[in-house]
Amino acid sequence: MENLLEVDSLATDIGQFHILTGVSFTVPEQQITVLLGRNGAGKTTTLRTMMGYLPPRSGQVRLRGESLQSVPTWQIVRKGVGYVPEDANIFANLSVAENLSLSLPGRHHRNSSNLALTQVQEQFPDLREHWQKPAGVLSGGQRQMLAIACVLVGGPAVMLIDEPSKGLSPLFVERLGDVLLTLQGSTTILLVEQNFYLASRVGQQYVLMDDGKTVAAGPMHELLAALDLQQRYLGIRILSEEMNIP
Amino acid sequence: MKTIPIRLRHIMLGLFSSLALLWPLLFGTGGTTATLEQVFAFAAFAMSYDLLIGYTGIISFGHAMFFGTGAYVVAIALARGNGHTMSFLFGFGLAVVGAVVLSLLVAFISLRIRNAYFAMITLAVGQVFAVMAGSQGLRQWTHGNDGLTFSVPNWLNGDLTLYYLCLFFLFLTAVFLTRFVASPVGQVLRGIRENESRAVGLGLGVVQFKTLAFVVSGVTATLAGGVYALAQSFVSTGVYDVSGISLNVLLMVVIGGVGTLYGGVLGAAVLVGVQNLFSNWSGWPILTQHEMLWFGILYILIVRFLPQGILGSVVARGGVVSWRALPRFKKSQT
Amino acid sequence: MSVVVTLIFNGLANGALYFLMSAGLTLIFGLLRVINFAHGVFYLWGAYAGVFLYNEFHNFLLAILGGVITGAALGLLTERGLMAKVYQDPTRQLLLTMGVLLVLTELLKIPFGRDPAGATIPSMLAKSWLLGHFVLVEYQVFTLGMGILVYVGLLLLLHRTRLGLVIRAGVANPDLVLARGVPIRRIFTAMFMLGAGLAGLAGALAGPYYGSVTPDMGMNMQLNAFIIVVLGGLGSLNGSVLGSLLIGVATAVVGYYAPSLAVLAAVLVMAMVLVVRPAGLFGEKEVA
Repeated sequence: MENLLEVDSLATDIGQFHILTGVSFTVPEQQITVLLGRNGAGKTTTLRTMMGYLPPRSGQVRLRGESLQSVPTWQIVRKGVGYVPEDANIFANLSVAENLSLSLPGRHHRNSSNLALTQVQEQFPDLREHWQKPAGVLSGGQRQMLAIACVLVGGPAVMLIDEPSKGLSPLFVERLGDVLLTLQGSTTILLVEQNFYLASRVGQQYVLMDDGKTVAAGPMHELLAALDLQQRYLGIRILSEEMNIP
Repeated sequence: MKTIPIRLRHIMLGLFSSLALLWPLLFGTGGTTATLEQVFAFAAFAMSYDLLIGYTGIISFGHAMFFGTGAYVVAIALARGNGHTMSFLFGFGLAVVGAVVLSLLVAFISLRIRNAYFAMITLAVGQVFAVMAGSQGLRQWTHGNDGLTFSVPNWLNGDLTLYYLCLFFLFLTAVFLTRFVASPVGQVLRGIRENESRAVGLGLGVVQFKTLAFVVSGVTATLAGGVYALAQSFVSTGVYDVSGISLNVLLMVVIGGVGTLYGGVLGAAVLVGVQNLFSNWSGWPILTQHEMLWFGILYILIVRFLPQGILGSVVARGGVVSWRALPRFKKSQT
Repeated sequence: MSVVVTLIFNGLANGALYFLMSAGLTLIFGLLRVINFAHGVFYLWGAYAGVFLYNEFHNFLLAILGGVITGAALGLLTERGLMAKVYQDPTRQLLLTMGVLLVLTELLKIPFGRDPAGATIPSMLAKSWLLGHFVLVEYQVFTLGMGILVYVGLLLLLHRTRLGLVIRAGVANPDLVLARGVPIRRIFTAMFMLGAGLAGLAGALAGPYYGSVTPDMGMNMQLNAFIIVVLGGLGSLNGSVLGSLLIGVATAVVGYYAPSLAVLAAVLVMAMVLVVRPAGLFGEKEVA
């Protein structure tokens, strides 16, 4: 099991604020790694720093051992790091087809592009129905599917997905989980997720963040057993106790 | 967030004011006092402009609309009233009223959307005034492109009186604007410049405060224009010129130092001084006939590399820790 | 009656020139979120390049190409050399473009002087026809045709090409375009060059159109273009088409009866529209 991505003591400032102070973890190949932590722990900032949107104050991100330091975002993407941001992750003014073709290389690769689009149509029947409509008409769940499909058609080595379940109905969270499970084993994914149910369903590895630092990491089943970690950093026990109150 | 620290500012202020006060007594009246009168009028004008660009974060490219209106209204009033004191007072009064109305109108159509609209619309409105001043329809008032000569009230006759009037006006402007930017309103304006969306979030009426700043700046600029006309005893369409006035004052403030208020005085002295010097010089035509080219290049270099301007950077080099090291231009979406 | 037809046709031809200016301005704003105050100087240099080349080589096609290339090259220098350095600081970008206008206008005066220079219409486009009482001027028809051609070309570019797809995506969300592996900064530069090239084209056409070139023409044309994009709504291509035609006809009509009041008319039209619709005819609503 080789590590595709390595994040090494990353620290990032936004303005005068030290948002990340020490983030270190690895993303093993062909596994789904879930990045967990409370609101404001720095999960989104971690992803944005990894993608080159924010310059880190110190620390490094390595893709297959190669440093991504001061590599521009678009090149990081072309090196095989796909990114699905939390909000505004599709172009509402473009059609579904246009959204997808934006991720594909130019017209020189028309055959492989058409193949990729056909695969998307098979994998996401919802999107096929709205193919030529502006993506703005899609429902929240369909938008997340499109956002993921947009990154998938580019054939990434690893996908960073930021909270895809946010604002979705339980039914769509379920379907999202199904989609992610079909990718399990073939695609490397780093998933930021607040929904612990979804995280534990699809995740194989976990990384736990708190207050700008990584505090724990390991196989998912270890986190499921470590109730103290869940309570301390995710507040999960407290929530379930509250729910037990008659 | 202190600008120039008190001690240094007082020393500089004392030095320059005593020099300005004693100048005609030491060196006599004549060429240099006439230049200095222009410097004082432009310095007040530049300070009024810095209130916008440096303290509110909005950029006008048509501030000549006020300067020129002040100059023309005072000039026409005095020309019609044969230099009577009443017409002098009437002219300045009318100019102030006109400036308030004009600034409110322009603010109403341009400040509601985004700052870039304001820059474009002030440029366009400024150009309208330039065209109108030279138009045939208003010729009986403005004398068109020939310009208008008039006489000042008797008590103002004499180089010395006029000189001290200009100096006194600059002094009043400086005191007023210094107090204005230090007032609670001034603090709010700076808050808007630093972070407009946060100011909106705090529930401040951003448009209203910007409008207020524009009115205050416009009235001050109008008075500066009136004083300029007095000093010249003549007014022409040049007072509405985009590059000669509106961009000139931008260069003065940027070269002197944006957001320092007194930087405008320095910028006015440098630009007016050099422009007067070059106009009397015949050698080196590429330098002396194209001074705006060189000032323009200096301006670009300053905006690009030295956003604090000359005065700001000199003070920063003086080891004053409280001086803000970051660019003084507003950083937000326009 | 023939006066009305003539004025309207003049207005449409004016509008075509205005459109070439305002289209670049509005597209640059839509993508880069910056108002290019140097736009008029690209037009000015395009005009002088056109006149200079035509006088030297008597080849109108070369003159037009020269105007386009001059504009685009200055656009490239401005964008790469200045704008990109203060990216994410719109106030300084605005101040820098104004500086570019000032400096390049003054620079032009060194070889060419401050006085107007004559520009002649090439003989192959110098015909005119009398239709009843209405005179149809071939060069006006040509200008109008160029305007239409550019409009159609821009629509095709935006809706039929991959570059257009990237531009439309970039207008909505430049950060997300980066996440699709597209270097948006290069697209910014390309767009700036395209807009500047169109301004240069407008300039090269304008010299013969107005019969002369002067150093002031850049600022004057820029004012019209600003009025048009504010009126039509910043960032909207169709807004600038409508605004160009409106202001083109307005300036032609007012200019016929009172030449000096044309600017006043344009500003009044703009002010009236802004009072009713603060963001312009096709403008997006946005708070301060």
